[in-house]
Order: sequence, then C-alpha cells, then structure tokens
Amino acid sequence: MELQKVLHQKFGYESFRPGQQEVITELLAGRDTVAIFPTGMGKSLCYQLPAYMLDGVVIIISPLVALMEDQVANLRKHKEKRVVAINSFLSRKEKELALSTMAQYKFIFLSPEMMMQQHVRQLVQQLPIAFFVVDEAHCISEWGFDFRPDYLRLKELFSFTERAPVLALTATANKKVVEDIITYLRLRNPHIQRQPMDRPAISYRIVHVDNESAKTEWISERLATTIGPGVIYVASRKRADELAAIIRQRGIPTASYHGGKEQDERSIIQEQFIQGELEWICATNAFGMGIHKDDIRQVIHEHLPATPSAYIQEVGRAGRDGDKAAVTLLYSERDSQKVKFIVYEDLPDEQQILYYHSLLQSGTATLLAAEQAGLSEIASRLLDYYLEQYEVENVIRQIQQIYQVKEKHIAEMESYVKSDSCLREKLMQFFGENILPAETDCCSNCQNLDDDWLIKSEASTKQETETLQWHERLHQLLG
Amino acid sequence: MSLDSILLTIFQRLHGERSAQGVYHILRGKRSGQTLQDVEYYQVKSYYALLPQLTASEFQQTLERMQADGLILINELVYVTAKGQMATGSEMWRFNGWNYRGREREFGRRLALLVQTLSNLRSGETMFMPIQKELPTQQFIKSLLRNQLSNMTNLSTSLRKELEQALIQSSLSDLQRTIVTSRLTGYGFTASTWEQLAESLNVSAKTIQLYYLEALHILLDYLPQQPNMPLLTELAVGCRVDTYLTQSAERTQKLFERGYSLEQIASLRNLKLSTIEDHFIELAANMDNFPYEEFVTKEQMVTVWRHVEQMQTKRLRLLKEQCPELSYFQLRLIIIMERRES
Ligand SMILES: [Zn+2]
Repeated sequence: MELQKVLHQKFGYESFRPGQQEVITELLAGRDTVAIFPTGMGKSLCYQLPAYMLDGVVIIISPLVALMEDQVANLRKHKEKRVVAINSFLSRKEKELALSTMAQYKFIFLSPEMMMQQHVRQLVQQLPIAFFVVDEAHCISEWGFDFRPDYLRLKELFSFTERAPVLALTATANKKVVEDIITYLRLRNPHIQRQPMDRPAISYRIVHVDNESAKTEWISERLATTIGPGVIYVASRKRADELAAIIRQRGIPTASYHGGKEQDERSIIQEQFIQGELEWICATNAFGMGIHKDDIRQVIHEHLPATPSAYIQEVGRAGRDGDKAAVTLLYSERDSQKVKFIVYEDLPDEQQILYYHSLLQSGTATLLAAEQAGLSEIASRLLDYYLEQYEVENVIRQIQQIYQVKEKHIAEMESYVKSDSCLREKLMQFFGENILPAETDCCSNCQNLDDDWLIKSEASTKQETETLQWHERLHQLLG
Repeated sequence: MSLDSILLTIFQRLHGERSAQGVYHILRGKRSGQTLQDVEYYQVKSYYALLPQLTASEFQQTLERMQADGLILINELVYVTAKGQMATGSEMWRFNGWNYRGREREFGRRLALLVQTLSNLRSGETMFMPIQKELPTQQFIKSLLRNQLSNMTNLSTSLRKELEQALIQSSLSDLQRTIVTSRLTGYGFTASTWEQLAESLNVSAKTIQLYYLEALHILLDYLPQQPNMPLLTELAVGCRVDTYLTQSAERTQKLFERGYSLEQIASLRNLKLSTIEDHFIELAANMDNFPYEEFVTKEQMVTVWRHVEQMQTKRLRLLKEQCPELSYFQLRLIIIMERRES
C-alpha cells in the first residue's frame, strides 16, 4: 500500500503505531480530524507523512517556541530542508526574510500570535495549503490546564467555507475539551481519533511523607537502590539545583534542568541524558518537550502537579520503549496548599479586573495598565481577549469559572493522592476512560507491584570515564 | 579569580567616585554617555559589556556579600577596603569586553556547532540534534559549509589543526584550553556542563565561566593576525564591534565633519546642547585625531592634568573648583584626552 511505502522510505518505520493510519487516511480524504494521542505515541507523524502525499504547504500552529524548534529540528534530522519556524523570537529581518520566501517551504510553523497578524494571515492565505495543523489544541479550551487566549482567535482563520482541512493534535483532552476544540476551531463533522491514555508499561505509586526533608531522604535512598534513567519533577528551579547537588554527592550522575539555565547548558544536559551519561535529571516542568529518550525507567514527582493532564503528560515520558517503568508521587500534607498558591497567582481577582478595566478606559496603555494592576503577562492577555467581547461583569464571571476549573483540577489531584482504590483506574477516570486495574504491576494501592526489575545491581554503577587531555579530545572529535 | 575580583578591580580603578549602579551599567554594557565616559575615564574598557545577562538581583547579592565579607564599603559610592585590596589578587584578567560586547558568545556557539557538525559528518553520521538551537547560528554554519570546496573529512582535520594551533599560540592558560575543548560536543562525545567542569577541575562554576569568556576574548584577539586560519577567522566574522559610537553620536560626527559647530548641531538636530556635548566626549574617546584644540588649549590641559595628579581625583566638581574658568564640558574633554595621550 502507498502509505506503507512512504512510511518506510521517508521515516524508516516498518509499521504504523496504533491510530496513525486512521488519522492520516481521514486527513488525506479532506476531513477535519481531532487526534488525541498520549505523549510520545507518534502524534507528529500524523501530519508529517500526509504532507508528502499532498501538494501544497502544511501550516502548523504551535503554541510554544521550544516545541516549535524541536519539531523543526526533528524534521531537519529527517533530511527535510523545506521547513521554517516563524515566531516572535526571530529578529525583524529574519522574520521578513522568512515571510517573503514562504512559498518555498513545505512545513511552516507559526505561533498563534504571529498567525493572527493581519499581513501574515494574508500571506498565508495566498499559499496553496495542503492542510492546517493546530498542535497542542487543548490550549484553546478554558477548561484546559494551559489555556492560551491567542488560540481563540484562530476561529477567524477557519470560518471560511472554502478552506483546507484542519488537523487538531493534542495529548490530553476530556470530552469537554474536545467539544471546545471542535467549536472554536470551527471543525466540520470531524473524525475523532482517541488513543487510550492508559499505558500498561507504567506502574503507579504514591508515597506519603511527613515533610520536605523526608522527601529528600526517600529520594536519596530510592536512587541508591533502584535504576535510572529517571526524571524527578520538582516545584522550583532552586529546588532542582539543590536536589541535584544532593544526589550528585551520592555519586549518582545527575543534573538539574530548568528555564533559568542558559540554552547551551540545557542542550548539553539533554544530550548527556540521551547518551546515558546522566542517570537522573531534576527538573521543573520546563523539561520534557523535545526529549527523545525512550528508555526512561522512572519518573518521580516531589510536588503535586496542578492538573491530572499535567501529571499524565509528565509520567507519560517514562517507558516509551514499551518496557516497564515506575512512577512515584511523593506527597506531604502541605503540598496542595503550595500548588494552590502557585496556580492562583496567575489568575486576576475581581478587584484587579475592575482596576485594569478602568485604567484601560481612561486611556492607559495596555502594558502599563497590566503592570499597575499587578497582572502577569498571561493574565493580561486573557483579560484583553475577554474585555474585547464581554462587559466587565461578564468577564469577572468568566474568570471565576476558570478559577473553579483550576480548583477542580487541584481537587482531582488531591483525591488522587488520597485515594485508597486503584490509582490507574482513578487517574484514567479524570479523562473519561473506564478501565480495570491491571492484573500485575498496577499500583501501590492494588498492592501487586513486583519491583525486582528496578533493583540496582552492584555492577551497574558506571565506571568513571578517564578524562582526556585537551589535544587528545580535539583529535578524537575531529580526527 | 571570580566575579569578586573583577568587581574589586573595577571599584579600585573608580577609586570611590562612582556608585555601584555605575559599575552595573559598565558590566551590562549600557550605551549611555555617562557609562561610555566612565569606562574611558577610569580605564575599564576591557570590562565593558562583559556580562550583558547579569541581573540586578544577582549583582546586588554579590555586593551585599562582598560588603559582609569586609571587601568593600558602600556608602552611596563604593570603596575598596584594605582587605579588599589584598583580595583583588595579582593575576590580571585579559578581557576585551569593549571590542566584543557579548558577541564573543556567538563565536563560541558557532565553534560548538561547527565542531559537532564536522565530527558527526566525518564519522558518517548525518542525523544528529544540533547542539545550538538558535536559527541564525545554524544558518551561519550551514552557509559556511556550503561554501567549502574540500570534503568534510579534510575540513574536519583542517579545523582541528587550526584549533590546536590557536589554543597553543594564543597565550591561553592550560586550564582554559581544557575548558574550551570540554565545551565541545561531537560524535561519541558530549560536552561538560559548567557544574561538571567545576567538579573535575576543582574551581567554582562561576569562575570557570569567566575563564571561558576570557578565553574567547583572547582567541578573538589572536585571530586577526593569523593568515593561515581560514575556518576560525570565518567563525569570528561580525563578532568584533565595528563601530564604537552610538548611532546618535555618529550622526553628530557627520555634521561636525561638515563644519557645523556644537551649538549649530544641537539646533539642527533639535537636541539639548548637553546631549551633543556627550557625543563629543564619545567622539574624543574613540576618534584617532579628535581636534581637541578647537575646544581647549594645551595650557589648560596641562593645568587640569596637574590638578588631577595632585588631588588624585577625577571628580569634576572638585576640578571645577580649581579651574572655575573651564566648563564641565571642557573638563571632561581634558580628562578624556589625558587617557588618549598616555
Ligand atoms: Zn491499581
């Protein structure tokens, strides 16, 4: 079959992963499609492959620059040169160059802000478009954990009668979110492809501890006795550095990873982790996107993630090779308070909204008004969007609803950590999936974990590689 | 050697005549008349724009710690204590911030990407994740490689030879050679993080980063005299500042060359006279043949220099008391010219 041939020639795979073929077939037939694939289950191929079977360019709208860069790098790695990313990080000159030469590309990545700029939109609409891709489509929903107001404006783009099909991609979306995606993106009778969230390879654990130092102790002990490679998610940059230092002192190759590190450092750390030189990474939620490592055996959270979606995405980075992986959530009583504080900080309260609104009314510039009202950038963009469409009273109501959604997500996470029934079952229920507990290696509540495979053998401790003299190193690198 | 020693060196040169904020602007490379004049007056050009990313809070914390350690005294202005003078150390930094202003890092990024690319290509590996994510850097290396005639294996060997020679001849310390090469990624080799280098070399991570920065300056200073290093020379393109003047000062310069006076330029450009004076100070600091005679006499200069010598200060207010007949502009000019004459 034609599809198989392209799959093999362009991507070097023998067969499709579950769900990919369905999505591609529907899209090639010109139908709008929503694809919900758990992280790392081959979402990108759903647009990369059909691109080669259709004339015209593929427009990919992607919310995060890091994600975009990663996708671009990935395509280039597969020898695709006709790819460009246009986002606000380009200089004016680079942006102009990219825009004026758009027609020569096959894949054009755009941030939503960029896409909705009038002149960019006009240029894009003149191109022969094979189809649109909206990546991380759940960002369009206020009910989603990372709502992006810019996404809501995309509907202007898709309202035309004559338009190319749209592929909405996401790793996580419950029914409500899927409804939002369909409504806001103006999808027409879309095909919905949902791959199961549950990953049998992953077994779930919750460990209750009394305080922060008990967490450190548990982690030290755990890492001394069980295998990596693994990721420990922590709440702050400072903690990531601190914990990594503690683990390193135990002789376990570990690095911290977070947005506060310069790009070069982050690249080096990723590379070392992928090459197996680092056994553990202590990371904030900045770590994950663009990590192509299939053999992660453990993910440990020492803070409470704000939503089940965030949690499932982060643990979903484990065991992509299909072999067993163990995930653990460490919980102490104060953790839910902490996560609430962080989450609500970004949401404006009623007074802030009123004050911001009155400042805008009196002609204060947006940026200044946001600063005076003490709004974060995310909060002010959210308000800008709503204030454009609704009366201020209505906006307050909307924000209160968002607040309630976030509250609900945190409550779900609380009920997860406090649950005494099957954790797998509980977690999947948040996504509308009803599953049965696994027979073996399910979760700490099912009490059927067999952790022998996790035990570190003495021999597995890595030998220190001999450090080379600088000129020897040069010779080995370059010949 | 650390940020402390850099700060102590700068504070000593300023001998208590500038606030901490002024030093922050120097390190960040602020392009204002005051800062540009300060680096010239106090001979700290080599530290200009050395740390463009330095945050205010990081700077503040360092100062607070240094004060707590008794190295400096902050009392609006900053003074170096006797203990601080001892701690400055005798080793001299060999930065050249004035000429590179942060762009040396682009040289480092290009080098890392070129080495990674050639190392992989010569080993037959064409699929690898570029260690540099910035698009301009990637484009630069791509077009550099596209314009090469020899094959990748030969190119790789040539780059190794150039690097080896440059590292040996450019008066880097042995530690710096290790640091520079350890930051290179290639086929089968990953680079080391600052933390890892700190651990294996037993030097603090911050200090290692400064040594690396200094090494980039030394390499970039070394390259222009080397006719036989085409690859490294190419990597250095555009990393050195080509115009030292702010844009605005450049416009003033053009008008001055066409014969307009200070006052005329101010009214033509609709700017304050003091702004144009700032431009002239900038010009005086950067032009080889600045016609200072149009503004001050040789005798006036000698007089002011004598006062500077006797009073051991460059504070304008004090000098003005000694020479009330001179304007502040003339005094500033004379101080700048002293630097240039010596
Ligand atoms: Zn279970």
